Amino acid sequence: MTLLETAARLRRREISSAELTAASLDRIERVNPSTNAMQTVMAEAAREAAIQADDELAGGKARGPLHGIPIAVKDLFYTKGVRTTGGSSLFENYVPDHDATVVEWLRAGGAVLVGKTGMHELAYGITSSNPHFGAVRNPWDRDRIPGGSSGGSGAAVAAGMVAMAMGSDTGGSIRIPASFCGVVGLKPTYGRVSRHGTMPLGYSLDHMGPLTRSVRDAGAVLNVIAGYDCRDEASSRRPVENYVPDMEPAIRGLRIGMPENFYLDRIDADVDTAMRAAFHTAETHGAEIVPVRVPDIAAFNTVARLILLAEASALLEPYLEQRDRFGADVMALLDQGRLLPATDYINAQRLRSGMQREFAGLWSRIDCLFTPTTPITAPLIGETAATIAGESEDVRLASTRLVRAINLLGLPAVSVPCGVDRRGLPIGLQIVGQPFAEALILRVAQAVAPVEVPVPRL
Amino acid sequence: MSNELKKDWKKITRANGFSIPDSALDRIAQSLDSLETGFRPLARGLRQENEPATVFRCTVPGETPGEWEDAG
Repeated sequence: MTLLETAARLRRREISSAELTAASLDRIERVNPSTNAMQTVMAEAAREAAIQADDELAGGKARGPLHGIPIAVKDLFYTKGVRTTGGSSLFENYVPDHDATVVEWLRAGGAVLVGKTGMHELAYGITSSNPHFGAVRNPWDRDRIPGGSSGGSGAAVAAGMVAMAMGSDTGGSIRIPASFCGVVGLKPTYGRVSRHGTMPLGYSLDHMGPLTRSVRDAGAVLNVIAGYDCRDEASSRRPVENYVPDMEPAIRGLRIGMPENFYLDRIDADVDTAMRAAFHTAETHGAEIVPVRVPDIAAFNTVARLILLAEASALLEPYLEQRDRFGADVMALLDQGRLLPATDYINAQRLRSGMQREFAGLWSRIDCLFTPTTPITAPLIGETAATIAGESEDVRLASTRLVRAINLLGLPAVSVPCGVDRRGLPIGLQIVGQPFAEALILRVAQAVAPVEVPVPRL
Repeated sequence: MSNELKKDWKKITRANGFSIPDSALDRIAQSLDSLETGFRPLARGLRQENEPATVFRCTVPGETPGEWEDAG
C-alpha cells in the first residue's frame, strides 16, 4: 500500500498510526538483521508520536498526508536528542540539540520517525558498505549493494520497513540507490529543499529528497519539505506548488528528449531494452520523443568531481590527520581533494557557470530528458569493476556516470523503476527537468511508472 | 597532457606538509592524473568574463542573502 493510500485509510479511521507504527517496527525487527538498512531504531519515541498522531486525528486535527505515517531519515539529518553519525566513526557519539529543517517540517506534518537509515561513510561513496556500521544489503539480492550513499534509505523503503525515507544526493546518492533497489528517488532542484541541519559533503552540490515506493508519494513528501528556509543560504524563495501528479496524468504533446550521445552509449543490454520500452510507453501516452545531442557530459562529470573533491576535503580538513578513523575508499578521496590547488576549484566553478548555460539550451527543444539512472544494475558487495558492453569499468565511476552532472547543474531529477534485468534486479529510469520543474517530471514519471513498486520476499 | 609536465604528487604532498603515506599516494596517483587529463584542457578554454558559480553576496546584518530577490 502506498503512503497516500495508507493516509486515506488513516483519515477514515480504518487503521491507526499506532498499528502502522507497530507493523513498521515489527518489519524492521524481522528484516533489518539481513539488510542492515536501519542504523538506529527509535521505537519508543515512534510509539509515543503515533499515539499523539492518533489522538489528534480523533480530535479532528489532520496535519496532512504524512500524519501518522512511519518514516525514516538518512543518518545525516540532525535529530534532536538522537545520535547522528553521518556513517562516520568521527561522529559516532554526536547527538544534535536540534532537528534538521526537513525533520522539523516532516514532524510538523505529523510523520512518525521510526529510525535513521544506514549510509555510505560520510555520504562519500555509492556502495553503503560502511566500515564502521556494516554493509547495507540490497533487499532484492542480499549479496549485492543497495547503492549509495543513501543505501539504507533505498533498502528500508524497498524492504517495506517504511513507505518513505529521506536521502541526500551530492553525486547521485538518492537516484543510485533508487535505481539499484527498485524504488522512486527524487532529487529536487538545488535550493528547493533546505539543507539546514544536515551533515554536508559538498556545499554547492548537496541536495535533500525522498525515496518512496510510488511517484505520487514522492510528490506528497515534496509538498511537505519544499519551501524557503532562511537558515539555508541556498534556499529558494520561488513559490512551491502541488507536486502530487494525477493518477493518470496527461503528457500528450510533452517533448521528451532522447539523448543521441553519451547517456545511451555504454549501458548494459538489459538497461538498453528497458530504456527503449520507457520511450515507447511515453510515446503511447502521446508524448513526442525528440532526439537531442547533449553537451559533453564527461567534461561536466570531471568538473563535478573536482568540485566535490575540493569541497569535501576542505570541510573535513580538521579530521584528516586521524587517518584510522576513515575507511580506505573515503580516505583516498579526501587525500585527492587536498592535493588540488585552489585555482582548480575556482576554475571548475567558472566552468560550471558556462556548462549551466550550455545545458539550458536544451530546454527550448524539450520539456524533460530521459536517461538511464545507472548503466548497470546492483553490483555484488565487494565488486570493484563491472563489465559494460564488453568493457571493464570501475563500479563507482560507472554508477555515478549518468547522474553526477545533474548535481553540477542543480537540476531536478527523479529515478523510477522501469523494468528488471535477466537476474530480476531493478533498472532505473532518470527523468531530468529544468530548474524547479519538479511537478512536470513527477507528472511524466507517474505516466510511465504509475504503479506502486513491489516489495521483495525476505 | 602530452605538452604538460606530469605532476609529482609526492613532492606536492611534502611541499604542503601533508602526512599522506607514499603507499596511499601510489593508490590515488592514477585517479588524480586522469582528473588532470580531463580538467586541464577545459580550464585552458576559460575566458576572463567566465565568473565562478559561487558568488559572494554582500548583506547588511540581519538581512538574509537573496532577501531582495524576486520570487518569480
